[in-house]
Amino acid sequence: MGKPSVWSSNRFWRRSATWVTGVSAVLLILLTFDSMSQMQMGTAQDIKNKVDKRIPSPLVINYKIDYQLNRKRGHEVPIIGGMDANGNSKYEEKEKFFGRDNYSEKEARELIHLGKLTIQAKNCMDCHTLLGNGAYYAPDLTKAWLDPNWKTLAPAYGGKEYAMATFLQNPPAMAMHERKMPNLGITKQEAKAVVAYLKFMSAIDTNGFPRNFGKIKGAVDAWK
Amino acid sequence: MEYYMHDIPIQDFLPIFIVSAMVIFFGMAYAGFFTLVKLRLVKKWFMILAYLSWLALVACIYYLGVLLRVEPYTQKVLIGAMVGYLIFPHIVYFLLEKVHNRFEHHKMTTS
Amino acid sequence: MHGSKLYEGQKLALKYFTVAIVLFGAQLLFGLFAAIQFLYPDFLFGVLDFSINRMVHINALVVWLLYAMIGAVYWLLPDEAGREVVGVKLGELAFYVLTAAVAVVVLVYLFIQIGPGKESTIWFITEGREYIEAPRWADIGIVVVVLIFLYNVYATVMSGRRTGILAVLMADLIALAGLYLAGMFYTDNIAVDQYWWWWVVHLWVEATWEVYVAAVGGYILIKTLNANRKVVEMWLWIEVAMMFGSGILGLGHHYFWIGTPEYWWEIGALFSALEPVPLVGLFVHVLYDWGKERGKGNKITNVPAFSWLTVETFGNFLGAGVWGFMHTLPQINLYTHGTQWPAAHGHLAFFGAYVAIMISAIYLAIQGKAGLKELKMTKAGWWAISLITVGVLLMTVSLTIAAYVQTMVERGMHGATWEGFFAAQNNEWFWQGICWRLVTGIMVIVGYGFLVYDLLTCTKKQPVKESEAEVAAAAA
Repeated sequence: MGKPSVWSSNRFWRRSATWVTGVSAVLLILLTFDSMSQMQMGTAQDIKNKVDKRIPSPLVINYKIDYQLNRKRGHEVPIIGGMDANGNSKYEEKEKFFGRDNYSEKEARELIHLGKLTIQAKNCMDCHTLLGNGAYYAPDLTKAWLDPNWKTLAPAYGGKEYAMATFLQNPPAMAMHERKMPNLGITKQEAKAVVAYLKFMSAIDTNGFPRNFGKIKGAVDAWK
Repeated sequence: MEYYMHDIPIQDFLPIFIVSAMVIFFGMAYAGFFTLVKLRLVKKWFMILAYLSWLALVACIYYLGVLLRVEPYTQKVLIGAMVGYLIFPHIVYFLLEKVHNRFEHHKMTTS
Repeated sequence: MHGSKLYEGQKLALKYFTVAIVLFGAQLLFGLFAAIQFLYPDFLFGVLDFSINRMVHINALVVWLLYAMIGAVYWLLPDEAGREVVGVKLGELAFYVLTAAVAVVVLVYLFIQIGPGKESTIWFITEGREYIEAPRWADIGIVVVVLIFLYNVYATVMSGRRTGILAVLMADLIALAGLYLAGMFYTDNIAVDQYWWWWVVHLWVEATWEVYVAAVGGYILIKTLNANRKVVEMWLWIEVAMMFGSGILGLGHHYFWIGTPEYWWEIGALFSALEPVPLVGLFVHVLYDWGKERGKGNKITNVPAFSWLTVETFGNFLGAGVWGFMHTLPQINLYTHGTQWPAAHGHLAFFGAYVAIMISAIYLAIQGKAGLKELKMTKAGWWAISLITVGVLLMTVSLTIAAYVQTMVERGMHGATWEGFFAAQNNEWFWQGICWRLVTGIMVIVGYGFLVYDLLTCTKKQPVKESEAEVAAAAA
């Protein structure tokens, strides 16, 4: 038998495996650098300059948020502070959040911080999905802020943020389904922060997930 | 402009899930028949079944692409998958032959 | 096998396996609670809420698989390296520390459950991040224990035989341990949070764990079928190339909708199409080996271990391959992301890819412990493998029906709102799928009972001939 074929050479395959792994890992790291730079949380400056950020500034809690079809991108995108003629965010229309629309960057960040901590501390992700990840026992919270259900409840509570906060502090009292949410001992301040986080999260650009949010039956082809 | 995501009408969901499962099943059927014939464990004409499986796989992938209303990039990926499925079992079999011939027939025992 | 004399490392492995099987039981029990709550939401409401049951269900799964994985390495390490495990006493200490820590974490999960929205909750109660909920102090403890484990493996291999299987394992275990660090930080930015969270979850279960399984599977093939080591080891490197080649950037299919740039659509679509590659490779390989080994007269020396390895091959193909590809392309994932689809896929894939092979490794250790040349399948063992495998398969089918309904009703017709969600959950077909999930879950639990019984008794129930031979040997 002559020189053994390279295809049956242990060394060749060990090296191939190392190279394939190495190249994939390097590519992933480079892509991660790029993604991270695009996923930094926005700032007050970005809002002022009307710069769209995938993860916007927490200051969006001062603004009206919507979720509309963007013809250019072919899917729904968050619209912050009103929509201009081209379907982009105007960052102008404000909306009162717990009676105020002038939260400072520091205040907004603190609310978001407490909100996120509470979301983790109460283990929301083991019933709900957030950005589609989590458990499948309860509704997805990605765009919960925009859920038409809250719009219906809002007047009775003086605004949907109040309705949501009241619900969170004692969910069984406001149970809307047989499968009810337990009382997790969420305080008033925590509830406000969680609602702030939900509002903030609804302004994250999720590439059109979830699709057709809030559209009613038969609306699938509605916006062709 | 060609959008990446198109709406999927609800009646299309079922065929989508079925054909995408069939893609993998036919892929395995092709690889399975191919290997068995090569090993002479079944009659030679079973090779026809192997390539028929592959053709069925191509049909499934094509139909999947239609149902998902894929844009040109994903079309290329799917075509690549068709071709990849065709040649990959050949490659794996070729490698296995090489390895077994080297290490089993010429007992190169070490240590 | 080297007689009935065990290395100290292998005795340590048996301890890891014992805890693994106990935690497997806990996983099934809390899964049962969660499955019941889907049908009867008031069951244990306010005592053990769904979130707690579900958390213990998935955490017990991850932890018992890790225990079994560490156990399997301690089992094969001295055998492969041809020497006692270096630092086995330290390893023993680490085992008790880890087990105590796991016990404390579980008690806190069950009795304290949740905390106020403060950093201290993240440190001492729960991190509230699916799969890696363990509080930060436990994270650090796990890192220390894993470092000890890695030291033992490296020190043993460095001073013993360096086989190809061990070389792959050494490289893989470093990556596996290192990736855990990616999940150990807090950020207010949920998109960045989930980005790194997937590094741990995906790069564990779809890359490093897969390679680990390939290495241990190679060892089991050598042991049970007397497969040619050269062939096994070379093929192992090819598998590593295929798995890491498709798996590392396969991470892209989790980055479609979490605030990440659109180019992950392209990357995710491409590597999702590539992910069946190692599965096809494995399939051809298994067929080839089976074809070649037929008629060679190579006896299967451990039938249960080999049978579970077979379950793993098909389970992996169905769970990861078929159920993975059904909802992985971004065009369809837009409608399936966050529904019961990942639950259907996850149950079969975890079972097929990991549970089956770890049970196989445990049977191998049981045989080694008893010092038997051959281990036959007992009746109980047969019931265990049949009930568990068929149970998980049917459970996956039930969940798939539920998932299909959810996709149609919630995502297709209503849009993922509160109303849409419950419209799907109340759908009769969905509800029936969830019912059958509970029934099949009970089936798996019965199978688990048989499994535990068989693991405890199978070595004593082998055909008479061998035990006679043993008695004779012992008398001599």
